[in-house]
Amino acid sequence: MSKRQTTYYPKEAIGKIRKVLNKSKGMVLDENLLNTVENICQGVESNLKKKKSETAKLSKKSVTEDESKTLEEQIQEERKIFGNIMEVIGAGLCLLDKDSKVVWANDTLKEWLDLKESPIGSHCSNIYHCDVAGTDKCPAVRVFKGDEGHLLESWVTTTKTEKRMYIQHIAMPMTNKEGVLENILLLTVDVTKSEKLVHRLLLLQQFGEITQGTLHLDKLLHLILTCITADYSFGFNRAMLFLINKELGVLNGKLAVGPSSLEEATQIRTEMSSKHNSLKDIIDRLDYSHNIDTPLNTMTKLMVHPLSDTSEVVTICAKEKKPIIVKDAAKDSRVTSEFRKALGADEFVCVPLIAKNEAIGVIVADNVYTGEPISEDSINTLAMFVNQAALAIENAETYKRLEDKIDQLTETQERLIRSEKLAAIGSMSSYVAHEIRNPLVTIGGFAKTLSRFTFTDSKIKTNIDIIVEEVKRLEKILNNITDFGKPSTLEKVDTQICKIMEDTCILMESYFQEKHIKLHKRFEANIPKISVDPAQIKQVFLNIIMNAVESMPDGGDLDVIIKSVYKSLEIDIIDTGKSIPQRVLQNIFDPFFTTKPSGTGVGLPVSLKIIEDHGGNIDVKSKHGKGTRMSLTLPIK
Amino acid sequence: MTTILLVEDDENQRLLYEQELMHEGYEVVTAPNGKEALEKVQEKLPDIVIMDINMPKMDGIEAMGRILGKNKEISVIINTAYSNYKDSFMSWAADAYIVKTSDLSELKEKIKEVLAKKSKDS
Repeated sequence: MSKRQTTYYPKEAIGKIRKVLNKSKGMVLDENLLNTVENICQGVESNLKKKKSETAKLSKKSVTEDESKTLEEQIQEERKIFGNIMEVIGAGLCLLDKDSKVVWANDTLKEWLDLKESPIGSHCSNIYHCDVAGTDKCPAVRVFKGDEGHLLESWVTTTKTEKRMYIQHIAMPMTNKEGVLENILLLTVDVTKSEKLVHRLLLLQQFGEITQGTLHLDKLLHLILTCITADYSFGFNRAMLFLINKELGVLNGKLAVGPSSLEEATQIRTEMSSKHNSLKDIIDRLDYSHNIDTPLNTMTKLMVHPLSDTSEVVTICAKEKKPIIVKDAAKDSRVTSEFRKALGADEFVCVPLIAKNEAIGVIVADNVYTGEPISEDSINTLAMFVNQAALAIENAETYKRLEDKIDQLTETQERLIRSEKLAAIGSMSSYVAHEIRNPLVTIGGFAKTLSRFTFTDSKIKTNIDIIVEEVKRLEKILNNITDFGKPSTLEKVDTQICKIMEDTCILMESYFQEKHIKLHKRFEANIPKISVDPAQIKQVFLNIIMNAVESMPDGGDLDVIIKSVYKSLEIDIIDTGKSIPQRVLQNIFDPFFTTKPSGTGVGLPVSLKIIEDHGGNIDVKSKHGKGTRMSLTLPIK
Repeated sequence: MTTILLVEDDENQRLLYEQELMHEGYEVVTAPNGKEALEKVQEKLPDIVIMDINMPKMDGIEAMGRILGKNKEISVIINTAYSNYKDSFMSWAADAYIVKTSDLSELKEKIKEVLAKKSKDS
């Protein structure tokens, strides 16, 4: 029996394997593997033919015992060779009987499936850990049922070498001499590479679809880097994205995605391996805040390379518009030691982001944790992907620019409407104020002339004084209102804002003391002089500080901060008083809106008008229980 | 005695200023508009004209122009409810510009100032 098997199985098996492999040629199998198997098969076949004819020759002759012994040895040799072939074939092989029990399996399979004990005699489901055993989906069952050909089934597995593989099982019927189906040969092949390739292509397609709908730039950048680092797409350990800032002529680090340590990398891999995520899933689960605080991201954001600097690999990449593979950063003249230290990887790849034939940025990716070499093949796909990404970024940026423009327009429109409104209110209020002023002058004037007379009844004198006082009060209000309607002409001179603020505070000093208000001044050193109308600016400071003090009837802290921010000065006046309720906040700059019993409601609108006339702005933030912050900005030039 | 021509369209206000200025010891002639003011100037040359601006028939600015065109030595004090004429170059020709208030002390002060300047110049 055993003799029959040795001569029978190799030949049959090789025939079957070859058949399967031929069929598989159209599939995504490794060409090299196919060729190796083919060669091995040919070798074994010719060997077998030779031996067989020798055996036949020998059997025809009267065989001596010695000869038969040699023959036996030769056959043993043959079995050994066959056994070795089965091991080096680079595929898992397993022979099942009719009850799906393992009759024989090669070591490759044992290794791949992480089998610690001999699988012989076990039910196939025990070693393959599959959930289709016994069902119609099981390839073995299908073959037993006479379904033509093999059936593939694939899943992800981890082996003790920690290599993650994507494997495929192919079942083949094995008949005995009489042509009766006796066994099933299960061929298990490693299709990781092809699977990755398929996945990448799928990813490209999905990415294209998704980016068409993603116009949010930050989201998009995240998405791109996530695709590059996601296992089963490109699977890079880390990816960094730089964008060109044309205005400043620099390449700016924007975002980085990837673990910060090997432990984290392993953890993420384990998490990810349990699910076969589609890009859509990844996007849906993408947590944009998650990667913000990583050291890698922070470092990347701090990276700025002038485009004129041609000694840096990223700028070279942007300039040449070609991917650059760095195999050994330490020996590569294109990589500065600074960049190498920041990156901390010896091997990495730079791929330019090109949109409309112009470089808009660079993506850097590496495998710093797994140390997996970066293949030419993966760079090509990456470049394809990055091209698509660049277009998407370009789109998003254009969209953002449009959005900014629209925001600007809306703001200008609102400002126009407001100033139009103010002008209307101004001219109306000025008309009313003047019409009232004339009779008021007469009333007050005559009342005053009356006070020159002597009256017997002291009540008359008191009453006259009341009229005079009340008229004065009315006139004061009118002055405020006419001031508001008056088109102001600015008398600008170069002024030290800190000095104006200092003067204003001195003016208010006694008032602060009276109201138990602690003043904290923080003026940045070297605040430049700016061109303003000092009287008007002082008026604004007075108005705002007065409001702040009035919001703290029981005392409090008043912070006055002056600092320079980019091309403007920022003046913050922060109180710890009663905050401004939200519904009030939106009206505080409307003329004649007031919540104070004796207010005219022109203080803040006049202040805003003055600041806007100076090309600045006022921003108000008020938090319940925390007070109010008024931020004034004035352009430096 | 110093003569003041008061040009004011509001009757009650005219009365007020007249009373007050007479109380200060000036001789006061009044006119309700620019046109009549010109006539009054021709009748008797005043030392000072106190001129309102917004008036019917002829406004204060025009009247002032015509008066000064003939007699440069007359002093003009603009007394108006509007502060925005202050920047108008036409009102620069006036010796003083006062925004009306019920407190007439400013006006009285200005009259004294103008008179003092006048006597000094002559």
